[in-house]
Amino acid sequence: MNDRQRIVLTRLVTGSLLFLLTLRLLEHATLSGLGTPPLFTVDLDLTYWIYKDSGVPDWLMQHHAAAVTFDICLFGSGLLAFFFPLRRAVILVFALLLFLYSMTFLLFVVDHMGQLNGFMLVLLPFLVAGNVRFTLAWEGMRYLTCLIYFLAFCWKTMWGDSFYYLHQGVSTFKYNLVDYLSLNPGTTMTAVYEWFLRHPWLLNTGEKSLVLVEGIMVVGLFTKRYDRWLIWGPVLIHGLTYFFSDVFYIELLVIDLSFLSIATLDRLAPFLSFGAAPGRIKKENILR
Amino acid sequence: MIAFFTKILGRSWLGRVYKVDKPLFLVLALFFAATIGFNVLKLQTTPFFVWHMYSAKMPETATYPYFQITYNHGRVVNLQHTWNEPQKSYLYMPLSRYVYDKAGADTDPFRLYLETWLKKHPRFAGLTRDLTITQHELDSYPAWLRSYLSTVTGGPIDEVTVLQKKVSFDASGAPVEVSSDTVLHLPPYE
Repeated sequence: MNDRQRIVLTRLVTGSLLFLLTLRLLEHATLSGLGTPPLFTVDLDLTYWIYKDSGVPDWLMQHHAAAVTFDICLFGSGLLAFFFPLRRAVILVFALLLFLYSMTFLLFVVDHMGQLNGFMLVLLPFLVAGNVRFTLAWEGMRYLTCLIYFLAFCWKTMWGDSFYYLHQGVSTFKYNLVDYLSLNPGTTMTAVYEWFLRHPWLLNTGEKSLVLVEGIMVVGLFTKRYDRWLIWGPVLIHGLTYFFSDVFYIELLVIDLSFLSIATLDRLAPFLSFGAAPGRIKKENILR
Repeated sequence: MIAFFTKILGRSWLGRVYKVDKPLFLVLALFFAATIGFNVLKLQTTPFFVWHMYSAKMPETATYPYFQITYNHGRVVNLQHTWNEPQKSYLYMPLSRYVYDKAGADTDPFRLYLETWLKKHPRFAGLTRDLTITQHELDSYPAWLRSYLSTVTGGPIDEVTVLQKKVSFDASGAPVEVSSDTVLHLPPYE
């Protein structure tokens, strides 16, 4: 990967993060919008034990000025990372603040949901100096993407038992959409959902199919030949669970960007490489 | 045979990382080993190693519960869109925890685990003091809910009632209310 391609990729990733953070800002779900939430959970996760014991999250939540400053710095560093994509110090600040934001959000939401894991991990390769080493680190993100979906498949088929429960699809559907169906009678979506409830085998088949799609992602650990198809695996999983399980895992798609090919980055360059330094194109071939 | 595998490994992604940057190789190899290891051990020690969402069976039941929040004498909180989830999570997850703890905080599995663990490791008592919800924090929750609701709705909140509803589904797929219990009521300001 050369400088130009790295710039395009950094802007794609930081731009996606800023978009998702803006959505959270509008949803009053960034630190300045949360007030002083008193309840929390650390569970058995040692990282949360250390973080809670540090006193940082309580201090941030109890001082509104600190929370507002935090949000300004979070968005400010994100914008700087977008406009100066080769400045690793800026990306480091953005990555740290994003990590702190994710930890604080999950601590006080009283559930350690997995969709923010992408926020915590996706910027780490961009901290690596040199385009050759960066390309290798970013390739690692692609392998991690394949691995985590395969691990999710293993959890459902080997370490957990949800795959073998034939009514899991319709049951999840009812648990997650019961409030929507109760509070919104007469809407088009309610009519669609009720139709699916009259045909539960479709929901159950869909759920099993999505688990199998998670399993298929293992192919990416052994070959890149099917990347143009594998990139759609997470999109399919999170797109369908968005509509059929009311689950907002779209945010995890930031790591799916690791499937983008060099050719795609080049195609996006006219739109996203403004201010780019002259590329070191020869180096890309070292790794390809 | 060894030469064959060495050649395969050398051409692999980790092999190429090893050739280019050994410290980076160490970091990445440890990260991937930890990701696989902690999942196999089913041990959550960081926020991002274990990927077990929806791996447990969710059995079909006769009724399905949800919380209905009403405010200012009858206005219902209705977050219709899935992209409202961050806000929805903050409204309903701590609420669920509050109702659970109010019903019997002594049954919190984490609190019970920590108490047992501290008997074996009394030296860590000071470090674990802030890891469980105190009675004061639990009592502060209703005031926070009122305040967050005010932020979400964009106006002052006079009164709040939270109902825990249980719903069944009829043959047409439509929800039918089975029960409705008040689990929290914040009276109007005097």
